Amino acid sequence: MFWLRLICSRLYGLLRKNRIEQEIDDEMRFHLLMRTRENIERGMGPEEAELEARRRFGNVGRIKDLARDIKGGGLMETLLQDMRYGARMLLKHKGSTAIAVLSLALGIGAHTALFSLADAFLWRALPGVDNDRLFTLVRGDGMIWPSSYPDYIVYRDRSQSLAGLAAYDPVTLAFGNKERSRLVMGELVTGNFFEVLGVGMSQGRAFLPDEDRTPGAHPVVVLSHDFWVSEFGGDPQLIGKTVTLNNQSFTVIGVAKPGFAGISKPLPVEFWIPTMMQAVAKPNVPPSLNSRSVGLFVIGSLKEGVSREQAEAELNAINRQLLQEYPPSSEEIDSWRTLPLSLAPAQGTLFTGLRIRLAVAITLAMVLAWMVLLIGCANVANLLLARGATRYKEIALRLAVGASRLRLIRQLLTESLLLALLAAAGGLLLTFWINQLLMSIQLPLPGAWVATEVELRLDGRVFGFALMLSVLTSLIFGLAPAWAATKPDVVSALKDESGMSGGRKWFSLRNLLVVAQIATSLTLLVGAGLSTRSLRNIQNMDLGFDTGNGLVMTLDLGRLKYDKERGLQFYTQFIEQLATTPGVRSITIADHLPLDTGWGFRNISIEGQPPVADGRPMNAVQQNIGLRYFGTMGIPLLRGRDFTAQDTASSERVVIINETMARRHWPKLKDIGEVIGQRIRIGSDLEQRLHIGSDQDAQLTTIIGVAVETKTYGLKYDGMWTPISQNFSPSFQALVRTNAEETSTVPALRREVAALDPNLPIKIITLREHIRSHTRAAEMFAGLLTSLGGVGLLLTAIGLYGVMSYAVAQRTREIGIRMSLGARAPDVLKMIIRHGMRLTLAGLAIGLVAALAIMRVVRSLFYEVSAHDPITFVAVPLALSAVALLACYVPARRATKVDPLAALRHE
Amino acid sequence: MPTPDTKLLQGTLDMLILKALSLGPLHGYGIGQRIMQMSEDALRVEEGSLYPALYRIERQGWITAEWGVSENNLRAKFYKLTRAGRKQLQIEEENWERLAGAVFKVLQTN
Repeated sequence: MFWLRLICSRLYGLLRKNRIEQEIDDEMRFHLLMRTRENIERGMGPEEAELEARRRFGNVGRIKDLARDIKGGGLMETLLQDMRYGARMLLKHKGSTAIAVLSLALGIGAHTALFSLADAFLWRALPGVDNDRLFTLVRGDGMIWPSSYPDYIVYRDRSQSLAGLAAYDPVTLAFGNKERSRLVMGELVTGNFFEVLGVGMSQGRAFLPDEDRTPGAHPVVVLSHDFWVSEFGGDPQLIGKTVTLNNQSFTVIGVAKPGFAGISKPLPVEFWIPTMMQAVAKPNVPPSLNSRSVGLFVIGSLKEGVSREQAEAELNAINRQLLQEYPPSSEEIDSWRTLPLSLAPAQGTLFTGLRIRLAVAITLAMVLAWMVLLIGCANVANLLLARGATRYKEIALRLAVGASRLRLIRQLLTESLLLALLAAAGGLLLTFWINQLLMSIQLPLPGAWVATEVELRLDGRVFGFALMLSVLTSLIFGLAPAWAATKPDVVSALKDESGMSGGRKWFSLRNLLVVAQIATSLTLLVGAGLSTRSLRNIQNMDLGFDTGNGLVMTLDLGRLKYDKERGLQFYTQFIEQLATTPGVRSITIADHLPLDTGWGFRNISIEGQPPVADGRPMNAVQQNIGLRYFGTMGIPLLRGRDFTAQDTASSERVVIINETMARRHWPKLKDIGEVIGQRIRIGSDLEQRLHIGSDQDAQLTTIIGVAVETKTYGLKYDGMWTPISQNFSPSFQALVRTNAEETSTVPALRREVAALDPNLPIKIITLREHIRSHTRAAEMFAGLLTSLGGVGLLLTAIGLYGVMSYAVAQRTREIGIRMSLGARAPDVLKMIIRHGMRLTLAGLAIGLVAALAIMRVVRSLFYEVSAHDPITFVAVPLALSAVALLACYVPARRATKVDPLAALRHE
Repeated sequence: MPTPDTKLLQGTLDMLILKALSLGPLHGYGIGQRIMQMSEDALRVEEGSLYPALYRIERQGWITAEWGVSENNLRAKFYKLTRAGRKQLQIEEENWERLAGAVFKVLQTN
């Protein structure tokens, strides 16, 4: 509202006319009146007298212009005047304006796109709640959950400074809606959740405190408004009816008000159920309602008049009491309880620490975008310097009659600002496209069965950011040229017939800008080169299995409460049914396939030896696999035998280990085959207490084979395979090798699974997509650097071209003299190109030093590429030189076309 | 107009304006008239130069402006010499005399 009022008062001021303007008018009128009177006294007729007075006075407008120049004039009025003038200048030089706007728009667009990304993930307030009041409880550096359920109860009940405290836990559930079974995202929440958040209901009611007291007693659910509309057509009769989640009936008691989509952004939350329903919601996870190990998110609000520091101090005091009452064990997971608590503004449920990492990544990208923006600024500054040179005389004249320098600089800056605003508009358009593109990409969030919904918006704040950037950039690129153009070197400029001396002087600034541009784009391109080579290395990495055709199916029996017996039965049927499906060559299953996020290390020990190697607990990655795994995956079994149908839950426990593990722990063996028959123990006391692995783990397991390792993230880990029949896992993945085109068999596979269990949700992707999800981060990084590097190169080429064209124009006369003295076209060509290449070489030298230094700092970002990769460091400067040569060649050729006679007659 | 247009040396106009105002506050029109009277119609100041010069001098702080009522009861802007202006006039007069004396000597030489 403030702005509206300001604009109104300004407009009013304009209508009333500026005070200074008015004074000048009055003074002129008085003068004319006096002159007219004098003329009449001398005997002229009244009309003639006035006419003569006006004629003698001369051009009133010109005098007023000068007066304004000198006096400064009103801010608003001169601003409008300057803008009109600036717009005229920009329209007059359409070509260079277009180049300048493009140069800046690319940089501004990259920034605003990053801004909206950061906004979506880091800053944007939670929709549908009062964000100023709410805060998130943070433990330590924010990479772990803040609390356990019993501890949460203590914080809630003992704290005096909190108005309310709620806990929640994001879950995915199988939503059974007959033929449309799918996984949906929800939150397990404490009974006071909606009350603490201040979220009302559009239908029905929220949870009662009683509904979250007894485990499993109240299967009730609150739906999100969107979910209610999309799945049930907004049926008002739904309250009191039941829906099926994880094969259990839940009674719908309410529908949240529109706009509230939970606090687990960027995951879309569709329903809420009481924490006491944990056993139904998370059947694969051991119950944790009584455990003091952290595992819940906590959100709350402060009492009126309580500061954040007071509340933090109180919560930490309660935490200390808790540690005394329930001393933590020596295990790592328990030691987290000793970490201090703090309060952070409430935002989506990314771990606060994860958010910090994301912020670092976005900041890095911002720095790169700044480099592009600065290259663009340099281009515009050069264009303005060139334009300033042609306007030098006009400016000098105005300075000579007493125009204030500040006033002229302001006018030139207004022109720059106009340019930057145009560029900001272009940049926002670009952002709109980039955002459309980004929103179509699925984020590789761990365990993301549910499609993430990231909404990138172009809202007021993004516009504000673009506006701020354009003001800032217009100052950066506009100030130096404006300063240079208004240097009070009046006499020489007025005398000098071509503005040569001025032009020459700015030459150094212009050259500096081009050298800086070349150095910056070299750095960007080296980064692009290194990241692209790193990406190639990752893509061509030998993963240790056949990466050809195939489909990856992901299923989870646990949500449908299969027990071990039914689960194993399902596996057998599943493999039998699908193996005979037309088009299927072979099929195998595993609890997780290589490159999936579900992998993890297990503690191990060798029979008769302490469980330590090199002073650390021995561990290895465990994978539980079905039959024909090695054959289907294409992993060579080096020694021993594969698992067979005879390896059952009741037979001897067996394991196949990988080569790396065999060589590490049995280094003295002449042949790795000799390891067969050795026995190891998988798991440890600690893992048992944390409910990792199965209850059979403590038994000794016999090594029956050695196979080649598969790589995860390019590293060779100690790894082992155990039969899924002996280590049941309710969630599993299947690899299906097909004869024909892989996707054509997908419908048949879905039908087969539906025949086995219609409520079982499945996800099917190609093996190629599965592998790609693991290279996606590297792809994005290389893509970002390459596109920014490309843009930088383009802008630099434009910049160099502009500077060389200007140089040729400035030296037309000199070239004419040289040619008339006998210089030939090739000599002129060489002279101009030498000038351009000298700048290029200077830029390359500086850029190489900078790139070497920067790449060394960020070398951990590149996979198996040296930070001094010779190929990149030779190829990039060569390519850049070639582009620079081209950018110089065009103006140089124009120089050879100079007609000596015409050049000498010039001006 | 019978009076021939005499071009003023750069910087001279400022001095003449200061001189005209040294006798008392005047409006713009009056300044032009007074310079003409004092030069016995030899110097005629162009309005196009007079007003920019006035604004420039005002900005330099040698004169100040104030709205008042003219001899024929019209609202007019009156310019007044400041103390800095008086000092400036003295400097410029001395410079001018030195310059004029030198030029005169040169011209006297046969």
